[in-house]
Amino acid sequence: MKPFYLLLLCCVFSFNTKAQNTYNIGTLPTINLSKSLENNWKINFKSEFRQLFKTGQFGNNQTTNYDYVHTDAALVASKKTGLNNTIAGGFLLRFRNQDIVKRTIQQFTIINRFNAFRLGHRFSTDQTFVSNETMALRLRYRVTFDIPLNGQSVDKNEWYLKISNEYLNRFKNKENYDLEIRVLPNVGYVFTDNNKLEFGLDYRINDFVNQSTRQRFWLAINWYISI
Amino acid sequence: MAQTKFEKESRLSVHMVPDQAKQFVYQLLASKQVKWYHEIHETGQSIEAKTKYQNKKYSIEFNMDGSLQDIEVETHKDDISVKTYANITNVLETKFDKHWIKKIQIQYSGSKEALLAFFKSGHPNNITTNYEIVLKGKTKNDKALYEYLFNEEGTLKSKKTIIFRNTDNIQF
Repeated sequence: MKPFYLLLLCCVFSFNTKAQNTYNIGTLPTINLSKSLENNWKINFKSEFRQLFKTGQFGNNQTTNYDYVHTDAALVASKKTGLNNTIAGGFLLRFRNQDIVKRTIQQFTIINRFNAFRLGHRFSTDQTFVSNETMALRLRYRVTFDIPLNGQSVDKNEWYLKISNEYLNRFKNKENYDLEIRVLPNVGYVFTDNNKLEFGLDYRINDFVNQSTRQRFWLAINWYISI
Repeated sequence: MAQTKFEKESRLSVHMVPDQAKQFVYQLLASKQVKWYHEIHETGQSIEAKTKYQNKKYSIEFNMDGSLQDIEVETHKDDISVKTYANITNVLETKFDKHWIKKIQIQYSGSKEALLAFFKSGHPNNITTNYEIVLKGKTKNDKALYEYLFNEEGTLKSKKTIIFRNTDNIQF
């Protein structure tokens, strides 16, 4: 994997020397509410509030206008299908300016538990519907690693490190393809097993296959509550 | 009646470990890389030393005052006598439609002197041997992870259901 990340890093810096390479800096707080139901079912509500503080082109002037980008509200139902596997499906509404973007979501998750850490694999697809536009299809894979910063398991009143890496393939029309890569190093704190707070970076790079790289740096704050 | 297994484990500085626990571990194993943990579980608290010695994983559990509880050594099913393992398998086959063994630990308990003598010479005098098995069990209605404890003959002593930590922050 190391040569891959080195290559990615080289790509990021080489794209920076070309024109039309933009960046965004903002915050991405989310709240995640889950409720366990009978027969291994669970319902999850997630809301995200995206705010932009800085945007610009690498090597050029930056603009610092504040922009409230959107609010997401997603409802996902999941069912545990095995000891480590879960399937899920749901619906997302994105409130952006005057538009409402609609998205359907399907996902399959495998979580492996090791002596000192957990490794999660999430395979998902989603379909995004915007008025007067063709539907966009995304095929996604995310790997997540979480490890306690003390002891061998993440317990109450303890800190943990969570690192995620996600690859999103986006297809829209026949000629329009984009790959987005996300890297999310986060630190989390466990108040109780059902109440966790995470914060860290949510770094996203896309459009590099089309030679106009966009890099986004979000300060992520995620609150997970299970009731 | 099955219980649930709950454990909270945090690293413990070697300076916080009672002397008699440290001395016992250093007498037992020549390993210098010992990690110490403070455990809170459903029946109370304990101190645990974990180390790898001669390619085997050791877990040595003490009471909070440093007195020894037991020694657990991770092992393979081939190290269990055929008769005992057959008894264990019989029990598991009656409980589950299908099962998968994830981890086996031999649990030795007895006096410190008896255990030290056993680990030096291999003669099990005045030592109680149990087998702690972590397994995935499937029944018609459920799949779960369990911890089963068997005695030396393979008779079931206790069983616990292992509760997983919440996975929302990995799943969603």
